[in-house]
Amino acid sequence: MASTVPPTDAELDALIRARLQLIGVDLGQLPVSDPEAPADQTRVMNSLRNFLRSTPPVISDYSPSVQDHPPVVYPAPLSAWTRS
Amino acid sequence: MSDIDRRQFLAGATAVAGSMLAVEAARPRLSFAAPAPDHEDLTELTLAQTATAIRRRKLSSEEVVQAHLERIAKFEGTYLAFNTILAEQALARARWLDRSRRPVGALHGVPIVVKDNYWTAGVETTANSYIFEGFVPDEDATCVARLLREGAVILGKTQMGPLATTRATTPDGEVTTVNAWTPNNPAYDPGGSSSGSATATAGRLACSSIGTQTGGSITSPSNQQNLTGLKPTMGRTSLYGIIPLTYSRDHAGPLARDALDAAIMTQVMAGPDPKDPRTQGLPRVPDLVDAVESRWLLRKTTLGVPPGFVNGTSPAALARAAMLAEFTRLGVRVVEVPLPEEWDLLTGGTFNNVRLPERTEPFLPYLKQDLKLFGVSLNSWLQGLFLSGDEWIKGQRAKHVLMRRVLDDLFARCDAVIQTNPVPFDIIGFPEIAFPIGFQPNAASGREVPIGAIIGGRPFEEDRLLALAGAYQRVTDWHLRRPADPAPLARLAARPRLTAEDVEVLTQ
Repeated sequence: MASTVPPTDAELDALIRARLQLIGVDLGQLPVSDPEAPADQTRVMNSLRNFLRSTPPVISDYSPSVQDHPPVVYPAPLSAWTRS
Repeated sequence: MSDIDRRQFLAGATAVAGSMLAVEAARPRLSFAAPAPDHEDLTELTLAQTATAIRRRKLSSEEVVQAHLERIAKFEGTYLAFNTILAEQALARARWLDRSRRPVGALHGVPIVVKDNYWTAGVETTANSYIFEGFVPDEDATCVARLLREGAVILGKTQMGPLATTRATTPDGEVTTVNAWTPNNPAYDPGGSSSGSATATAGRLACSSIGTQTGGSITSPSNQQNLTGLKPTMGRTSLYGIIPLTYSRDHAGPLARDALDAAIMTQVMAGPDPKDPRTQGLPRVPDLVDAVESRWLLRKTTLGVPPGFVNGTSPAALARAAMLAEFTRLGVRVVEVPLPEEWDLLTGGTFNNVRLPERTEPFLPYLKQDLKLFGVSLNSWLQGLFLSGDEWIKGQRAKHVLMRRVLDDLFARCDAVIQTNPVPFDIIGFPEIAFPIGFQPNAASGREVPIGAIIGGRPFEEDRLLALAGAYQRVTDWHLRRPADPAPLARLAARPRLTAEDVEVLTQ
């Protein structure tokens, strides 16, 4: 059974930095910490850690019916196309 | 005609012909007449009144445009509603329209403004972002082309939340546009992200305006500034030529003075567009102008009210109760409806985040190029990189669940439903109308500020929403009230600055 120990900040930081590095987004363009700047590395990392802890686990846990609910990108137009 | 004039004419005619091809399919039949009361100030007139007066040659487009430009010159320094003011072009077009023998369309000579995320040929289109600084499209967004085809005169491009995220600010977060009802208090929310369009319309700098909505960006500024805003069903209005925020949730619609104006604007904008597949194969656009007066549609409507909507004794709660009583008097059946199962989960912040990869994907080249281009809006663009593919798919399945429950549970009990938050119907692309229902004091501003309501409908039933708002406005006068002019040279409170953390919470 998978571990249920939540990841540490350091583990999430490694994930975040690796993901950004893989696709070529360089956080080093931002100051490390500058409250006066629109964005800095410290606040971005904090935001992304919070996002990872809050959003993917909840979405992953949701289990709608596989047969009844295929994915729909545009629900309203679908409702017109499928109107009987 | 000189050579240069002829070349310009031919170039213009070719451009118009090309533009017409793109939009010809949906040319609406529009019939309305709204005789104007005697007003000394032409900017008091609604779009319908202005169009009627110009069509009947009681007013010229030039004098109407000039009247609005004079207010812009006088008050724009306080409102900061515009990114670009097109005074000379607007006057030139107004004079050209005044010289035509017959009206070119339903909006002949009427001055409007356009949110700065719609492409406008030859006019800078920035979406209030560093990314698009200096971007000058070579064609109009389809909605803009359709408004021009009907004879509208564009006075300028309006301020907005950077990339359509929050209330209007600079890319670095400094507040720009103020609420027209609290011009000396920049802290009071004008509503976002179509802030400039709302302030320009409420402050009588334009007859009407267009905005976009991904998470309340038409309905919120409309409610905040005593306007009637219509967010059409996904696919009803083309998104071609609009800088995307979220492909599956962006909607184009009007922020207008009243239901009739909103109907006219939507009728012009709506319909299939060869350039936007999302508009194809959908139900035909009904006569939205007729719908505003439709008592038949009204009598066939049950209005659902979610639990707790009128709880309390606040001015907003009392205004809501009074609105429902008015609808009952109008013959609308009003019933309380329970919200569908898992409503909070499916419409709350977590599942709302499923939209984020859609904003990240088209902007990835800019994220790689320079993160500073995103100013205070950066966080949510980076967050979009951290949902897995299977989580994004799960989110699309959750949208399907939500749509079915809204159709099968909620709309089994009613035909239209009060919204306490625009986001659920933004997620599934259902239409919403926002309209004024009262006023309440705002201590910080020392002024009365508008209270609004939002009603949502089944897909492609904008006509029913307009019938409800139109009927309500026939028996109330909230929508007729206009904000006082800002005091000239008044000292403004310091304009606040939104931080990246603020934007992360507020982003649409």
